[in-house]
Amino acid sequence: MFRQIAATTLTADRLFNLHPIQIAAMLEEVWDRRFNDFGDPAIPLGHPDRRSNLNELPPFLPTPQDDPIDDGDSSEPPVRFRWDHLIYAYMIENTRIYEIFRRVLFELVNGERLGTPIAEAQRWVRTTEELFFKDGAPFLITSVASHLRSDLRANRRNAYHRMFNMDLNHGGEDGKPYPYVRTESANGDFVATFEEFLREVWIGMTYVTASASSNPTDPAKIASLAEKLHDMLRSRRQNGNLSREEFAFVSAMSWFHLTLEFDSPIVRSLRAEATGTDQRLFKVAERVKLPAHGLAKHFFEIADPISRILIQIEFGDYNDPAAVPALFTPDTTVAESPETAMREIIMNWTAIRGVDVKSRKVTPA
Amino acid sequence: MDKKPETPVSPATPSARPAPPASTTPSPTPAPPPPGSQDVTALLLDVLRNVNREVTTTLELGPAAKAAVERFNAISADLFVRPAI
Repeated sequence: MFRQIAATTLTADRLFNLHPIQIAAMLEEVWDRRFNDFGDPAIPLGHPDRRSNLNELPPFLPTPQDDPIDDGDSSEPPVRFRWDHLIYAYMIENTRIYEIFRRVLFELVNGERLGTPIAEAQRWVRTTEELFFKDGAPFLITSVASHLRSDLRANRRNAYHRMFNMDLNHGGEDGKPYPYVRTESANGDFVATFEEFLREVWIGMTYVTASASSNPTDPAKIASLAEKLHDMLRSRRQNGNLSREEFAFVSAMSWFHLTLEFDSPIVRSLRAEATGTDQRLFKVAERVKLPAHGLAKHFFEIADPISRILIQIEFGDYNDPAAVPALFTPDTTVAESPETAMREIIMNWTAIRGVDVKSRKVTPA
Repeated sequence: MDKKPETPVSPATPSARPAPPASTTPSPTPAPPPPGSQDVTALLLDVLRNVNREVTTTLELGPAAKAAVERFNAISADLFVRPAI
């Protein structure tokens, strides 16, 4: 979410200099400007174009002068915002980015083992602590911690478990599994179904130009798997369920992701300048003696394409076998194609899961 | 006594056969294929043309797939993330 805001009228540097309440207000406004087609009764709550009916805070909070959401031109229709799929937050958090910055902040606010933050990083430290390491202010859409669910880290794990039946690959700081509430209503088949989906799409990619051999691509099977994924993901979102949590968690992870996408003030303060998001993470991790995930590069690379493909699967676009060729057919006429995204997903998923989805499935005799 | 360096011997030119003598008789017009057989060259060209058409057809997306590509692009545009610093 913050990466999108930083791609509009605000630069990342200026975003990091805003007052925390301005950033909170901006998130409220983004929530208000979400795709929300109330005019079409055929669109159910939980649909990608109608995620939730929870209302935003009335406009009492101050927004930045350069409002990235409203450029002041009243003649144009208001900008609509879409946020990433929950899988984005899962992939980014798997790099251990949150735990590493938690330790950075712990050191900076409790002592000087890492030195003192440079002047430009002071505001980042304050804002990050205010927004992501304390209970949110009452009534904000992103305040998802309460007496009923007091631990944000456990809350995120709970959401990942419900939607994908996957836990993060790291436990707590003591190395033990992190405790969180598990539920029976989790998508237990997500991983197996998704890997089967990737395998079938890869077959399609392999044979898309084949003309002198039989083509084992099975669009009907791919459509059936896409529909199964669509049904399980949308089941967790009935009546807009989990949308608020998704918005809050995706926003939090994008804040840390954006922080590492360039030599931001805190990166410079920690003397962790490098080329590449993962390399900066490794250097910050080294400073606080908490190792990042060795495959962090793959997690960063898969986060965007998998988020987009899952949103599209939730639209139900690939439930139709006639639409399935878009997943494995190169299309050079457009800037970004589903085929390119699927290639990135297959390559990175194979690396991070250790499951070669490019190999044929072996059926026991 | 200095020896003169030996001149490297170039390998024998392969198949350096003498050119066939120019035909003095005009080339005859190709005989029409016997009944029941076909011109192989024309047949091969036809096959190649069809193979090419087959590949082109395979890579062309139908309306449903095109709509899916368009939607993917719209989602990507909504989630545009190339932060300005």
